[in-house]
Amino acid sequence: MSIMAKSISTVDITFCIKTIHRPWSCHRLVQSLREQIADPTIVVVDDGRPELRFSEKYPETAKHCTVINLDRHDVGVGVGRNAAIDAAQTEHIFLLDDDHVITADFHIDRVCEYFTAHELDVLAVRQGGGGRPTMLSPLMNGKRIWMHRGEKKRIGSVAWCDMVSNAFLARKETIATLRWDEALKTYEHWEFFYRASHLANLQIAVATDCSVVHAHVAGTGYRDLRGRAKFRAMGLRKHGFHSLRYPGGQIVRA
Amino acid sequence: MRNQATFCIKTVHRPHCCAALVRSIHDHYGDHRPLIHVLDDGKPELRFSAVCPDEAAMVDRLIEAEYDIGLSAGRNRLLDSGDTPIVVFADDDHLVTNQTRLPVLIGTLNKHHDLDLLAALSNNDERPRMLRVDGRTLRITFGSYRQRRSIRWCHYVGNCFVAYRDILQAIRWDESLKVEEHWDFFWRAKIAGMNVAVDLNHSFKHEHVDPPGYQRRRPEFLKAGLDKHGLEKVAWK
Repeated sequence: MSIMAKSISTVDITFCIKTIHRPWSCHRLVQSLREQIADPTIVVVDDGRPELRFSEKYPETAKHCTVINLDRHDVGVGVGRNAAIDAAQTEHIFLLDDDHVITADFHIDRVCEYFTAHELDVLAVRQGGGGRPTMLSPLMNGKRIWMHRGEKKRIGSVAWCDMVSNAFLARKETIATLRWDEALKTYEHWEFFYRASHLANLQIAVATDCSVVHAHVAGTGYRDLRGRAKFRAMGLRKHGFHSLRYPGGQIVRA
Repeated sequence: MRNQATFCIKTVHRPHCCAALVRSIHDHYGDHRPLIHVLDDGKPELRFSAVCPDEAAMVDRLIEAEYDIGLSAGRNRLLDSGDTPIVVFADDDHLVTNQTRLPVLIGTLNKHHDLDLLAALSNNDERPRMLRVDGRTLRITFGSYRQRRSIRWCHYVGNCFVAYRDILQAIRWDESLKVEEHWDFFWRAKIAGMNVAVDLNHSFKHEHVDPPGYQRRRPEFLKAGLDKHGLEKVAWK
């Protein structure tokens, strides 16, 4: 007989949010969390300019969070997320993007239950119509990586795969060890999950009956200005890939 | 073709069919044939190697698997046991003929960057089909979404095809489905964005033989396949 795994409740979870220049969006997320969850523990890491900071624009909302305003502006998503995870004091973290909104479809109780029952390392929720189970399959003797929809197995509504959305539950220690690559200012997502799935062999899944709303904000043009190609190439080369095949079939070279 | 392609045959309880297929590959391509790998999961007395030892000696690798691992597991193991970039799959009751023209079929696969799996016809059957979900029904209907010369891009083809090994390894066959694995495979291939087509100018000969004790209808596997995708039925129209 295996020992019954300890159940998780929301008091064991820190909700970790990295934000920049979308204070209204971050405010909306924090408020929605507080509406759906009793007294949630929230860490917000903000690397925006002082006048556009969440804590500056929404001080009343910010009182309910631990806010870390980074001195250096625009440090990138990896640095910000790592700082948020490091600041968490609980055994578990739930990562969120600042353009997510929590509704009754979140079902955090189910997420906690599945996480424990299936001994998962990372359990994500759907992100509106997105956040479907995704696979990262090496092709051409490890020279190309194929990002495609797919799953390894499914039990009930839980689907095991390699890559999921940015709304996920994990043990703090797991993510604090894995970390986001701080050199990748954008295009960090697949690289994080490539290491998580293929190198660290973590058990990654999606709870397909739980979701956050992805209220995408066009906002700052932040990612477009970042020279995507450069960071994408950096991530690919780091793992020896010369190219990436997208779900639509498009091939991009490093 | 030896450096480039491996002909993968999963066989069970049809040793004479398997022998005829192996001979047909040798007869048509001689020294220029693809490598031949056979996986057999039959009972000892009906094994390919026991019943047809001469033809069993004509293959490059014979994998004697444990009894009844099933088609999906057999094919996955064949995928993992070779290293040519291209694999050829056919059922053990197919035959290579003058109409198969494997080198040309492989050439077409190599030529088009938007092809991952290119099928041939089986006799005059297995024409291109499309897949779509309509409510909770998976519809498998004749049709294609693009054509060029004799090539029809589509979602669903028969069991005779050439394909890139690594692409198939990413999709794999679901080993929990011993039958009803075919539409599950092509549905997942479609979801993943795999490029599937059939070239109407190529065909394999098919003379169907039911192996002893073979059960075609296995409703429990149909239900498992449907449940997995949240579907209620498969409709062939």
